[in-house]
Amino acid sequence: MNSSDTRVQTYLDDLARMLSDLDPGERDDVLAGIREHLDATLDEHPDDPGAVDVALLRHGPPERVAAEARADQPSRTREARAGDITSALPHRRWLLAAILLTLVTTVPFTLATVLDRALALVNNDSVSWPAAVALFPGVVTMFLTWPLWVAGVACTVVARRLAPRSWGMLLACGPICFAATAIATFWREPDVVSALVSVALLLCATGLTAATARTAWREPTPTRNHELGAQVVAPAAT
Amino acid sequence: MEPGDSAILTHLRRGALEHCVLALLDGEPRYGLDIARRLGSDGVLLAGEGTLYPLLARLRKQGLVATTWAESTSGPPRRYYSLTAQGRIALATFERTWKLFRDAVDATLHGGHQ
Repeated sequence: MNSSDTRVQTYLDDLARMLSDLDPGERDDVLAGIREHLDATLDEHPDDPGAVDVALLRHGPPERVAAEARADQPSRTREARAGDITSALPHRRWLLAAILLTLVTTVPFTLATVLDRALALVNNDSVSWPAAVALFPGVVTMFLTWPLWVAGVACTVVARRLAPRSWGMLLACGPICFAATAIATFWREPDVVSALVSVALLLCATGLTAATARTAWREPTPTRNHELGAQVVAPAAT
Repeated sequence: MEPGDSAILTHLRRGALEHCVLALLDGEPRYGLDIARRLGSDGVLLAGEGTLYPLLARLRKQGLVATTWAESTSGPPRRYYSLTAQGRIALATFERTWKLFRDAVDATLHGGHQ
Protein backbone atom coordinates (compact mmCIF):
# COMPACT_ATOMS: atom_id res chain seq x y z
CA MET A 1 0.00 0.00 0.00
CA ASN A 2 1.42 3.44 -0.85
CA SER A 3 0.45 6.92 -2.00
CA SER A 4 -1.28 5.45 -5.05
CA ASP A 5 -4.12 4.50 -2.67
CA THR A 6 -7.28 6.35 -3.69
CA ARG A 7 -7.74 7.96 -0.27
CA VAL A 8 -4.17 9.22 -0.22
CA GLN A 9 -4.45 10.50 -3.77
CA THR A 10 -7.70 12.29 -2.95
CA TYR A 11 -6.03 13.89 0.10
CA LEU A 12 -3.09 15.05 -2.00
CA ASP A 13 -5.35 16.29 -4.82
CA ASP A 14 -7.47 18.27 -2.35
CA LEU A 15 -4.35 19.77 -0.80
CA ALA A 16 -2.88 20.60 -4.23
CA ARG A 17 -6.07 22.50 -5.11
CA MET A 18 -5.98 24.41 -1.84
CA LEU A 19 -2.34 25.37 -2.41
CA SER A 20 -2.83 26.21 -6.08
CA ASP A 21 -2.07 29.90 -5.61
CA LEU A 22 1.16 29.35 -3.67
CA ASP A 23 4.62 29.55 -5.15
CA PRO A 24 4.89 26.35 -7.29
CA GLY A 25 8.25 25.38 -5.79
CA GLU A 26 6.97 25.67 -2.23
CA ARG A 27 3.73 23.85 -3.09
CA ASP A 28 5.63 20.97 -4.74
CA ASP A 29 7.94 20.81 -1.72
CA VAL A 30 5.00 20.45 0.66
CA LEU A 31 3.22 17.86 -1.47
CA ALA A 32 6.39 15.82 -2.03
CA GLY A 33 7.16 15.82 1.70
CA ILE A 34 3.68 14.64 2.60
CA ARG A 35 3.69 11.99 -0.10
CA GLU A 36 7.03 10.63 1.13
CA HIS A 37 5.80 10.68 4.70
CA LEU A 38 2.64 8.74 3.83
CA ASP A 39 4.60 6.27 1.69
CA ALA A 40 7.05 5.63 4.52
CA THR A 41 4.25 5.26 7.07
CA LEU A 42 2.24 2.88 4.90
CA ASP A 43 5.31 0.83 4.02
CA GLU A 44 5.54 0.00 7.72
CA HIS A 45 2.06 -1.56 7.62
CA PRO A 46 1.71 -3.12 4.17
CA ASP A 47 -1.01 -5.59 5.23
CA ASP A 48 -3.11 -3.30 7.39
CA PRO A 49 -6.00 -1.76 5.40
CA GLY A 50 -6.74 0.62 8.27
CA ALA A 51 -3.23 2.10 8.15
CA VAL A 52 -4.22 4.61 5.47
CA ASP A 53 -7.02 6.05 7.60
CA VAL A 54 -4.78 6.24 10.66
CA ALA A 55 -1.98 7.91 8.66
CA LEU A 56 -4.37 10.48 7.18
CA LEU A 57 -5.91 11.13 10.57
CA ARG A 58 -2.47 11.76 12.06
CA HIS A 59 -1.74 14.13 9.20
CA GLY A 60 -4.76 16.25 9.98
CA PRO A 61 -7.24 17.69 7.47
CA PRO A 62 -5.79 19.23 4.29
CA GLU A 63 -7.39 22.53 5.27
CA ARG A 64 -5.13 22.70 8.33
CA VAL A 65 -2.03 21.93 6.26
CA ALA A 66 -3.05 24.60 3.74
CA ALA A 67 -3.56 27.10 6.56
CA GLU A 68 -0.07 26.36 7.88
CA ALA A 69 1.36 26.82 4.40
CA ARG A 70 -0.09 30.34 4.37
CA ALA A 71 1.07 31.17 7.87
CA ASP A 72 4.08 33.19 6.74
CA GLN A 73 2.15 35.27 4.27
CA PRO A 74 1.80 38.96 5.13
CA SER A 75 -0.92 39.59 7.64
CA ARG A 76 -4.12 40.67 5.98
CA THR A 77 -7.70 41.10 6.98
CA ARG A 78 -9.98 38.11 6.94
CA GLU A 79 -12.05 39.60 4.15
CA ALA A 80 -9.04 40.43 2.01
CA ARG A 81 -7.66 36.92 2.41
CA ALA A 82 -11.01 35.38 1.47
CA GLY A 83 -11.10 37.68 -1.55
CA ASP A 84 -7.63 36.57 -2.61
CA ILE A 85 -8.56 32.93 -2.36
CA THR A 86 -11.68 33.48 -4.41
CA SER A 87 -9.82 35.36 -7.12
CA ALA A 88 -7.14 32.69 -7.19
CA LEU A 89 -9.62 30.03 -8.11
CA PRO A 90 -10.68 29.61 -11.74
CA HIS A 91 -12.72 32.39 -13.14
CA ARG A 92 -15.89 30.61 -14.18
CA ARG A 93 -16.40 32.59 -17.36
CA TRP A 94 -12.88 31.89 -18.60
CA LEU A 95 -13.28 28.28 -17.68
CA LEU A 96 -16.65 28.07 -19.44
CA ALA A 97 -15.15 29.66 -22.57
CA ALA A 98 -12.19 27.26 -22.45
CA ILE A 99 -14.45 24.22 -22.17
CA LEU A 100 -16.88 25.38 -24.86
CA LEU A 101 -14.12 26.23 -27.33
CA THR A 102 -12.42 22.91 -26.70
CA LEU A 103 -15.69 21.03 -27.20
CA VAL A 104 -16.67 22.99 -30.32
CA THR A 105 -13.33 22.36 -32.00
CA THR A 106 -13.22 18.65 -31.24
CA VAL A 107 -16.46 16.77 -30.56
CA PRO A 108 -18.47 17.74 -33.71
CA PHE A 109 -15.60 16.55 -35.91
CA THR A 110 -14.92 13.32 -34.08
CA LEU A 111 -18.62 12.43 -34.01
CA ALA A 112 -19.12 13.40 -37.65
CA THR A 113 -16.16 11.25 -38.61
CA VAL A 114 -17.59 8.37 -36.59
CA LEU A 115 -20.86 8.78 -38.48
CA ASP A 116 -19.03 8.98 -41.78
CA ARG A 117 -16.97 5.83 -41.21
CA ALA A 118 -19.87 3.88 -39.71
CA LEU A 119 -22.32 4.73 -42.47
CA ALA A 120 -19.72 4.05 -45.15
CA LEU A 121 -19.12 0.64 -43.59
CA VAL A 122 -22.82 -0.21 -43.27
CA ASN A 123 -23.61 0.97 -46.79
CA ASN A 124 -20.47 -0.55 -48.21
CA ASP A 125 -19.17 2.84 -49.30
CA SER A 126 -22.24 3.39 -51.44
CA VAL A 127 -23.58 6.32 -49.47
CA SER A 128 -23.31 9.60 -51.29
CA TRP A 129 -23.15 12.73 -49.22
CA PRO A 130 -24.06 16.19 -50.40
CA ALA A 131 -20.85 18.09 -51.09
CA ALA A 132 -21.17 20.38 -48.06
CA VAL A 133 -21.84 17.47 -45.72
CA ALA A 134 -19.14 15.30 -47.23
CA LEU A 135 -16.60 18.02 -46.53
CA PHE A 136 -17.56 18.35 -42.87
CA PRO A 137 -16.19 15.14 -41.42
CA GLY A 138 -12.47 14.95 -41.57
CA VAL A 139 -9.26 16.34 -40.36
CA VAL A 140 -9.00 19.11 -42.97
CA THR A 141 -12.18 20.84 -41.82
CA MET A 142 -11.16 20.32 -38.23
CA PHE A 143 -7.80 21.95 -38.93
CA LEU A 144 -9.58 25.09 -40.14
CA THR A 145 -10.94 25.64 -36.65
CA TRP A 146 -7.45 26.06 -35.17
CA PRO A 147 -7.97 29.76 -34.32
CA LEU A 148 -10.88 28.75 -32.10
CA TRP A 149 -8.80 26.01 -30.49
CA VAL A 150 -5.97 28.45 -29.82
CA ALA A 151 -8.50 30.79 -28.21
CA GLY A 152 -9.62 27.84 -26.05
CA VAL A 153 -6.02 27.20 -25.02
CA ALA A 154 -5.66 30.87 -24.07
CA CYS A 155 -8.83 30.69 -21.95
CA THR A 156 -7.57 27.50 -20.32
CA VAL A 157 -4.31 29.20 -19.44
CA VAL A 158 -6.18 32.14 -17.94
CA ALA A 159 -8.29 29.72 -15.87
CA ARG A 160 -5.08 28.01 -14.79
CA ARG A 161 -6.06 27.40 -11.19
CA LEU A 162 -7.56 24.07 -12.12
CA ALA A 163 -6.00 20.97 -10.65
CA PRO A 164 -2.86 20.36 -12.75
CA ARG A 165 -4.17 17.07 -14.15
CA SER A 166 -7.44 18.60 -15.42
CA TRP A 167 -5.58 21.59 -16.83
CA GLY A 168 -3.20 19.39 -18.80
CA MET A 169 -5.98 17.13 -20.00
CA LEU A 170 -8.06 20.06 -21.23
CA LEU A 171 -5.08 21.25 -23.29
CA ALA A 172 -4.42 17.74 -24.57
CA CYS A 173 -7.98 17.09 -25.79
CA GLY A 174 -7.52 19.10 -29.00
CA PRO A 175 -4.36 17.30 -30.20
CA ILE A 176 -5.77 13.91 -29.18
CA CYS A 177 -9.02 14.44 -31.09
CA PHE A 178 -7.12 15.88 -34.05
CA ALA A 179 -4.83 12.85 -34.17
CA ALA A 180 -7.77 10.44 -33.91
CA THR A 181 -9.66 12.26 -36.66
CA ALA A 182 -6.57 12.31 -38.88
CA ILE A 183 -6.14 8.56 -38.47
CA ALA A 184 -9.82 7.96 -39.22
CA THR A 185 -9.73 10.26 -42.23
CA PHE A 186 -6.64 8.92 -43.95
CA TRP A 187 -6.53 5.27 -42.85
CA ARG A 188 -8.95 3.47 -45.18
CA GLU A 189 -7.44 0.02 -45.81
CA PRO A 190 -8.30 -2.66 -44.83
CA ASP A 191 -11.81 -1.36 -45.04
CA VAL A 192 -13.59 -3.09 -42.15
CA VAL A 193 -10.70 -3.15 -39.72
CA SER A 194 -9.75 0.47 -40.30
CA ALA A 195 -13.38 1.56 -39.92
CA LEU A 196 -13.90 -0.35 -36.67
CA VAL A 197 -10.61 0.79 -35.14
CA SER A 198 -11.23 4.36 -36.27
CA VAL A 199 -14.71 4.41 -34.79
CA ALA A 200 -13.43 3.00 -31.48
CA LEU A 201 -10.57 5.51 -31.42
CA LEU A 202 -12.84 8.43 -32.15
CA LEU A 203 -15.39 7.38 -29.55
CA CYS A 204 -12.61 7.11 -26.96
CA ALA A 205 -11.29 10.56 -27.87
CA THR A 206 -14.81 12.01 -27.72
CA GLY A 207 -15.51 10.35 -24.38
CA LEU A 208 -12.20 11.58 -22.98
CA THR A 209 -12.97 15.12 -24.08
CA ALA A 210 -16.46 15.05 -22.59
CA ALA A 211 -15.18 13.56 -19.32
CA THR A 212 -12.36 16.13 -19.10
CA ALA A 213 -14.80 18.99 -19.73
CA ARG A 214 -17.09 17.65 -17.01
CA THR A 215 -14.24 17.21 -14.53
CA ALA A 216 -12.81 20.65 -15.26
CA TRP A 217 -16.20 22.28 -14.78
CA ARG A 218 -16.96 20.47 -11.56
CA GLU A 219 -13.70 21.19 -9.77
CA PRO A 220 -13.79 23.22 -7.78
CA THR A 221 -17.51 23.99 -7.71
CA PRO A 222 -18.60 27.44 -6.52
CA THR A 223 -19.76 25.90 -3.23
CA ARG A 224 -16.38 24.32 -2.65
CA ASN A 225 -14.69 27.61 -3.47
CA HIS A 226 -16.70 29.27 -0.76
CA GLU A 227 -15.92 26.52 1.74
CA LEU A 228 -12.27 26.58 0.79
CA GLY A 229 -12.04 30.32 1.31
CA ALA A 230 -13.65 29.95 4.72
CA GLN A 231 -11.36 27.11 5.72
CA VAL A 232 -8.13 28.57 4.55
CA VAL A 233 -8.60 31.86 6.33
CA ALA A 234 -8.97 30.03 9.62
CA PRO A 235 -5.92 30.43 11.90
CA ALA A 236 -3.18 27.92 11.31
CA ALA A 237 -3.21 25.20 13.96
CA THR A 238 0.39 24.11 13.73
CA MET B 1 -6.67 19.18 27.64
CA GLU B 2 -9.21 21.90 28.46
CA PRO B 3 -11.24 23.47 25.61
CA GLY B 4 -9.19 26.66 25.65
CA ASP B 5 -5.87 24.81 25.62
CA SER B 6 -5.96 24.20 21.89
CA ALA B 7 -6.24 27.89 21.03
CA ILE B 8 -3.46 28.83 23.46
CA LEU B 9 -1.20 26.10 22.09
CA THR B 10 -1.83 27.29 18.54
CA HIS B 11 -0.60 30.75 19.48
CA LEU B 12 2.36 29.48 21.49
CA ARG B 13 3.50 27.14 18.73
CA ARG B 14 3.77 30.01 16.30
CA GLY B 15 7.33 31.17 16.26
CA ALA B 16 8.55 28.39 18.58
CA LEU B 17 7.88 25.25 16.55
CA GLU B 18 10.18 26.09 13.68
CA HIS B 19 13.03 26.51 16.15
CA CYS B 20 12.16 23.17 17.73
CA VAL B 21 12.60 21.66 14.27
CA LEU B 22 15.97 23.40 13.96
CA ALA B 23 16.95 22.05 17.38
CA LEU B 24 16.03 18.50 16.31
CA LEU B 25 18.27 18.85 13.28
CA ASP B 26 21.18 20.18 15.34
CA GLY B 27 23.64 17.32 15.39
CA GLU B 28 22.27 15.01 12.73
CA PRO B 29 20.12 15.17 9.61
CA ARG B 30 16.64 13.63 9.94
CA TYR B 31 13.90 12.66 7.51
CA GLY B 32 10.34 13.97 7.66
CA LEU B 33 8.68 11.00 9.32
CA ASP B 34 11.35 10.92 12.03
CA ILE B 35 10.96 14.64 12.74
CA ALA B 36 7.16 14.34 12.81
CA ARG B 37 7.25 11.45 15.28
CA ARG B 38 9.66 13.16 17.62
CA LEU B 39 7.70 16.41 17.58
CA GLY B 40 4.28 14.78 17.67
CA SER B 41 4.93 12.21 20.37
CA ASP B 42 3.34 14.31 23.13
CA GLY B 43 0.63 15.99 21.03
CA VAL B 44 1.76 19.41 22.26
CA LEU B 45 4.16 20.71 19.68
CA LEU B 46 2.52 19.36 16.53
CA ALA B 47 -1.25 19.44 15.98
CA GLY B 48 -1.03 17.22 12.90
CA GLU B 49 1.89 15.59 11.15
CA GLY B 50 0.88 17.23 7.86
CA THR B 51 1.53 20.72 9.21
CA LEU B 52 5.22 19.89 9.51
CA TYR B 53 5.81 19.99 5.76
CA PRO B 54 4.78 23.58 5.04
CA LEU B 55 7.07 24.52 7.91
CA LEU B 56 9.98 22.51 6.49
CA ALA B 57 9.37 24.02 3.05
CA ARG B 58 9.47 27.47 4.61
CA LEU B 59 12.70 26.74 6.51
CA ARG B 60 14.28 25.48 3.32
CA LYS B 61 13.15 28.56 1.43
CA GLN B 62 14.70 30.74 4.13
CA GLY B 63 17.98 28.84 3.84
CA LEU B 64 17.84 27.55 7.41
CA VAL B 65 17.72 23.89 6.41
CA ALA B 66 19.02 21.98 3.39
CA THR B 67 17.87 18.66 1.97
CA THR B 68 19.71 15.65 0.63
CA TRP B 69 18.50 12.25 -0.51
CA ALA B 70 19.73 9.04 1.09
CA GLU B 71 18.88 5.39 0.56
CA SER B 72 16.66 3.73 3.12
CA THR B 73 16.99 0.16 4.33
CA SER B 74 13.22 -0.23 4.55
CA GLY B 75 11.75 1.48 1.50
CA PRO B 76 12.28 4.19 -1.09
CA PRO B 77 15.04 6.85 -0.74
CA ARG B 78 14.39 9.45 1.93
CA ARG B 79 14.82 13.18 1.92
CA TYR B 80 16.97 14.20 4.86
CA TYR B 81 16.79 17.67 6.32
CA SER B 82 19.93 19.18 7.86
CA LEU B 83 20.78 22.46 9.53
CA THR B 84 22.67 25.07 7.50
CA ALA B 85 25.14 27.57 8.98
CA GLN B 86 22.39 30.17 8.83
CA GLY B 87 20.07 27.75 10.61
CA ARG B 88 22.58 27.28 13.42
CA ILE B 89 22.78 31.03 13.92
CA ALA B 90 18.98 31.27 13.98
CA LEU B 91 18.80 28.45 16.53
CA ALA B 92 21.45 30.01 18.80
CA THR B 93 19.64 33.36 18.65
CA PHE B 94 16.34 31.70 19.52
CA GLU B 95 17.83 29.80 22.46
CA ARG B 96 19.10 33.04 23.98
CA THR B 97 15.86 34.88 23.38
CA TRP B 98 13.71 31.98 24.53
CA LYS B 99 15.43 31.81 27.88
CA LEU B 100 14.75 35.50 28.49
CA PHE B 101 11.14 35.11 27.34
CA ARG B 102 10.52 31.97 29.41
CA ASP B 103 12.03 33.50 32.53
CA ALA B 104 9.94 36.64 32.09
CA VAL B 105 6.74 34.63 31.63
CA ASP B 106 7.54 32.39 34.62
CA ALA B 107 8.31 35.36 36.81
CA THR B 108 5.06 37.05 35.81
CA LEU B 109 2.98 33.91 36.33
CA HIS B 110 4.51 33.15 39.69
CA GLY B 111 4.28 36.78 40.72
CA GLY B 112 0.59 36.77 39.79
CA HIS B 113 -0.08 33.95 42.27
CA GLN B 114 1.47 35.76 45.20
